[in-house]
Parts: sequence; structure tokens; C-alpha cells
Amino acid sequence: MYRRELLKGSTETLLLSLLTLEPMYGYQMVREMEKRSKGYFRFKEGTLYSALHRLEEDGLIDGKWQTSASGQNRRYYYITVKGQNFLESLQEEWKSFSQAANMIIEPGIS
Amino acid sequence: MSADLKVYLNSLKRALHLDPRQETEILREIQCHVEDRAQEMQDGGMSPDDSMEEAIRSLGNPRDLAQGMYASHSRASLGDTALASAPHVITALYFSLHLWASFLWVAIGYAAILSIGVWGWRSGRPNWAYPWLGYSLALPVAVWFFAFLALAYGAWSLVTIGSMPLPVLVYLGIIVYLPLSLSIVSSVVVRVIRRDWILASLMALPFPFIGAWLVFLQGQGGFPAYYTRHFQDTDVYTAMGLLALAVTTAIFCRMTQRMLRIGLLLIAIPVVFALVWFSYQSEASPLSLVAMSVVCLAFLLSPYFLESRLDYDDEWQGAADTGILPGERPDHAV
Repeated sequence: MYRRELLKGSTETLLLSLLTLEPMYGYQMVREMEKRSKGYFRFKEGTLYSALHRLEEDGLIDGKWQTSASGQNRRYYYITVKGQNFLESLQEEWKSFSQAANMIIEPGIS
Repeated sequence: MSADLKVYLNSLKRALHLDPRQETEILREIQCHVEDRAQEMQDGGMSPDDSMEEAIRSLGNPRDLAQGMYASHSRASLGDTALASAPHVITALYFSLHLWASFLWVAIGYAAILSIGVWGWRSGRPNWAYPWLGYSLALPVAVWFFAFLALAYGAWSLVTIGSMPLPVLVYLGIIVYLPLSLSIVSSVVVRVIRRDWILASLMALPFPFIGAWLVFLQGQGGFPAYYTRHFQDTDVYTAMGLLALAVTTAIFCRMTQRMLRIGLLLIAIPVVFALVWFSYQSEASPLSLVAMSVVCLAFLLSPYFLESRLDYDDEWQGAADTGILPGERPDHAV
């Protein structure tokens, strides 16, 4: 439950961060997210598409139909300049938040 | 495409209620996703049927997916919101400035509204176009009211005194006009309902108000009464009612949750309608005001019932094409 709430609050950051690596299609993002987080992040797939379309409506990403190397037609998502600027502000916020949270959760370490 | 996937995409399509072009894109994308996932599981040794079933299940309920997509795509921009509210504001201005009394002003206003409505219809029917379409249809529908009155009065005169008060050509014109305008109006309404019944309700918002105004006008002695000061005093209340429609339309356009949109229209509009009716009939009893609200509510809900009827007809047409009865699904469908 707690993990789901954390994931819900970080969906935009995670998706935009993933798209800075390379343009990806929906299913590729699900697999990549699982792989890079070693199975920690498992997106509810229906939710992923709603989030992607919301980001696209906000102009943070752009979706284009393209034919992949295997010959299949898929909708690839690209991060836009607006999305990159937004991601930078999200990353800054995330760093400040996690540092502040760590100072309280793990006072000995910080 | 597998039968399971067809059933899933069909359920998704029905629940989306978006622009047909957006719907096509979304369905195509979801289809690709399911096929990719199923293929990967098949490569891992799962049977084609099981992999497809699992791939579809992982997407979750199509209604939840559609709800998320609707929320992502349905919020109108501020410009579109202003454009959607504009015809209500323009009509409110006509009432507050008593411009209804001028045939020229009515002709100019209607030509402008009709042009924008037709332009919106021909350019993909964005959500802002529906209020303009509503006012575009209001005139032909309002003419029905007078056409029926003229026919009834003409028939009564013919029976009682043996002659008709208007030239025969006028009656012939009415007889040609009624089915022609009815077919145009019903064709537009059906196409809007097929897209989304709530948009048909949004389009129909001015109808109860214009209808009530016409009934009131007729009760006061018809159009000649409009020039009396007493009648024109009620224009301010009509204008306020129409401004309330403009505000409701603006809120509707900015909302993203479908249920909230439905709640807004079905609660706010009947209340505003009852208040406007009370301004016409200040001696109206509370019971009659409730009755008027219920009539308005039933009218706004009528596209929902028509949509159900159209869906039912489509399902049986689909059954005739595919041989699969409505509601029948493959055993392992989600």
C-alpha cells in the first residue's frame, strides 16, 4: 500500500527519467522499469497509459507512430524540451525531499 | 486479432467517450501492447490462448483504463472553454439588450452562431462546438412549435368556418419543412449521441429555456406581446439563466471526471431552469417548480436512454454480422 502511494507520487518523475535514456513505447517502458528497478517497480499497465497520455496532453512528451526494427508499428514516446525542464525541477525537488527525509528517518547516517 | 482482444477493445471503446480519432489511436496502442506482452509470454512457453488472456488481464478493467484516458484527454483549454461558453453569453446579451425584437439582429446573430456551429461540426467536432450546435438547432426546433400551432389552428378553422387563415402555400411549406428539418435535426442528434450522450445533453442545454420562454411568450399573446414593457422586464431573468448556462458549461469543460460532469449538468441545470420558470410564473407553486425541474432533468437524461437504445441496435447488428450474440463472450474473456 505504502509502496503504491510512493509510486503514484513519483510516476511522472520515473516516466520522464526513463524517456531521457531513449524514446520508448509503452510495453518497453514497463519492462525497462522492472529491469532497472530489479523488479521493485511494477506498473499497473492500464495506469501507465493514462499517465503517458496525461504527460502528452501537458506537452511534456510527444508520441509518434514508428516502425520498430522487428517491423512492428508502435507508438514511441519522446521527451520534449518542456518535459526536460520539468524533469529537472522534479529531480531537484526529489533530491531536497529525500535528503530532508533521510535526516529524520536515518539521523545517524546523515 | 483474437476474440478476447476484440471483446476487450470493444468494451474499452464503449467506455472511452472521446474524439473518434483519439479513440482509434488509443485502441491501436493498447492492441500493440497486448500483442507484445502475449508474444513475449508465448516465447517463454505459454500457450497462445493463455498468454493472450494473461496479457489482457494485466491491463485491468477496461472501464478503469477508459476512465484514466478520459481524465487525461477531456480537460478543455481556457480558450476552448471560453469558446464553448460564448453562445450562452451572446444569447444572454440578446435578452438583456432586448434584441429579440429586431428581426435583423436575430438574423445576424443566428447566421453567426450557425456558421460557427457548422464550422465546428466540419472540423472534427471538438467539445467547444456542441453549445454552438445546440443554438444552431434551436431555431428549426422552435419553428416546429409555431408550425404545429399554425397547422392545428388552420385545421380547426377549416373544420369550423370552412376556410384557413393563412394561404395554402404556407401550409404546404410547413408540410415540407417539418419532415425535412426533423430528419436533419435527428441525424445530428444521433451522431452526437453515438459519440457521447453527455455531449448531446450539453448541446441541448438551451432547449428547455427557449421552450419555456416560447410557452410564456405564447401565454402572453404571442410575439406582439414582446414589445410590451411588462414582458421585456422578464428578459433580465432569462439572461441570468443563460449566463448560468455559460458558467455551467465552463465548469463542465474544465472538469476531467465524467461522473462529476454528469452530476453538474443533472443537478445545476434543472435548478436554474426552475428559477427561470419562477421568474415567468411568480405564482407557481413549489410542487409545479419541482415538476418543471423533473421535466428538465428527464429531457437532459433522454440522450442517455437513446444511447442505450442505439447500443442495443448496434449489438444486434454486430450479431448479424459476426454470429456472436450480444453479451456473449468467449469463456476465458476478462
